[in-house]
Amino acid sequence: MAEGWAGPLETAGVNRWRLPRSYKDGMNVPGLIYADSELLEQIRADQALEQVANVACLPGILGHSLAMPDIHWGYGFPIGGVAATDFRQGVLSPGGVGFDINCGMHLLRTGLGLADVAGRVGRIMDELYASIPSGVGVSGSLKLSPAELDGVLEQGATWVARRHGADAADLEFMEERGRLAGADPEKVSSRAKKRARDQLGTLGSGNHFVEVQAVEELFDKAAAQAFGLQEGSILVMIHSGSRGLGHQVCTDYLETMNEAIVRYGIKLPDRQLACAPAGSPEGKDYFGAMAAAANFGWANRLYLGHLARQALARALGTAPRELGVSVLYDLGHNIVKPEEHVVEGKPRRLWVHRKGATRAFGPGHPDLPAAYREVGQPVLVPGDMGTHSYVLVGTSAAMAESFGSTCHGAGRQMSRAAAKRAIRGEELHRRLEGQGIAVRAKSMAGLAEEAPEAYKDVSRVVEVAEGAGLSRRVARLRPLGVMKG
Amino acid sequence: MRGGHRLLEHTADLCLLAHGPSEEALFEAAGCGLLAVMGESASPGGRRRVGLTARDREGLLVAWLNEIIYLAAAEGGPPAACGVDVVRHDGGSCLEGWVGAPAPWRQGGAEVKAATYHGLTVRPPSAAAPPGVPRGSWWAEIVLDI
Repeated sequence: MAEGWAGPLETAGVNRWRLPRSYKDGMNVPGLIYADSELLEQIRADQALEQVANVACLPGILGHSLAMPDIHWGYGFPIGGVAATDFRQGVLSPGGVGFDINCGMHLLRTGLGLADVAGRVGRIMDELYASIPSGVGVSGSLKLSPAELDGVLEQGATWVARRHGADAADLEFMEERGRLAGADPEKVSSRAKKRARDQLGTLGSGNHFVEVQAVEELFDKAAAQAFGLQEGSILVMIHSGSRGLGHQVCTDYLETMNEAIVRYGIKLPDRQLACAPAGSPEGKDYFGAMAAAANFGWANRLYLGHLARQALARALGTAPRELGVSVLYDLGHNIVKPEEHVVEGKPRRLWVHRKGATRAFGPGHPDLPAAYREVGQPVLVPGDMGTHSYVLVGTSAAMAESFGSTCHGAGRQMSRAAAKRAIRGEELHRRLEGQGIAVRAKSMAGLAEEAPEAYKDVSRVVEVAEGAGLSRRVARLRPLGVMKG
Repeated sequence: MRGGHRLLEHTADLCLLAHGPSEEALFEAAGCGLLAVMGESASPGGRRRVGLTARDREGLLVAWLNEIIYLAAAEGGPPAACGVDVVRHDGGSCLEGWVGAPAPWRQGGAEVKAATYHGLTVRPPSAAAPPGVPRGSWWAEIVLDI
């Protein structure tokens, strides 16, 4: 299945390539790919660009079918794909969100510096590993009653803040304040709810992680100051999502949508893109369930952050409140939301699907917390466990061109199987420890799948995004400790 | 198991190629391939009947694999084994089969989020089968989200 893609692309400006509508019957808009020539060569190695063309066939899609610089081959939508559809005439597509609904990033800043953790990172990682349930099939310590689960699905991170003492002030620094309006727990199946009852506060497996990081370099002093970042600051970055509940919601609604495309006469090149008009009963039900799953994702990450604070305090022999820990930002990168953007000079309400892409609202946007409004939204971009991650900031150009979106990570370049063939987990573990990175992992095979070599160069990805104007670098973060599920 | 399975290259996820001498054997091989990805267990366990319906053959394969994924998640581990007795297409498509009792998750097993429709191919015996598929076999390619 992994053949290269040889279709036509036209240059369309700095780090921009247009995939013309004429490429494929049924494309309603052109594709627009953000890449330089080196990234483009990697992107052409598989079928990600065919998926960009397929997404362009969605009814009601506006502007372009967009591909961020970290685009790679997924299923249905490419990973790194963005598509906006008209609020009234457009469709909602579960494939435009993916199975891990509201998978995303949570970044905690601390009052600690490098000197405070020198010689203690191993102990911190041990505490994190002991405190945060991770890996395949693990349960969390919270067992939710049906009523409590409905509370989480409706209230999102707010539920965690109320019930488990997380700092309510942190909600201000979460996308949608950690609670997406329109969630309807009744639209979530009993199967999905059964999968969720003991998964709140679990990390998961695969590419989900917790990292302790240090700020290595600042690029934008004003934004760094607004975000509370200084060189040498210690941060905790968490990558997780809505767990089995989100997976089941997507599975359930893909079947619903596959019936709907027959009912509404929608023709698509890939059944994984199955969709329904946003205003149809199927579309409304999906959004209610998707928003509920997104709320579970925000609740999960806030609770994971709560566990991380406690672990950090135990490792350092102090109280959590003494550490000066607060949420820098939390965002989802697999989600569809109603947003307002300017299209052809006119403000329009849209459904913006981001599948492996990050919201990157620019300065002055009313949805941003007051403390960040002047500089723009923080964008959290994990790299790989051996090199760097980045904090970026959203731009006005992103608002004008990419529906306020930018990249979400480094993007895979090597399959999991190829990574396991090329790299032994035990050797990778030793190599990272040799680089001064403390590693805690459930599975050496899982560690090998996530090896740095399996990913593109995150620095190039964020530079290309910056060159295209979609986001600007604020800080580069260096991993000190990595925990993989 | 009456057929076979192997993994094909896919950048972000896994692509499963399964084959069997009959349609039932193909579905069974795909189920066994999924269980191998999730972490095979030697425990035989008991058997429970599974009955599924779908709009068509492709939808039935997705439904069968997603049923196994759901049972693994909801019951604390993947079924120890699985089998397919009947696949029928009569108006819609239906499957009658069985799954073993849940076995504990094994280290190195993957958490499969779902079986997808992307690039989904289910074919009767044909000359155009991928390399490694025995002559006269049914075969399928299906992408699993990891």
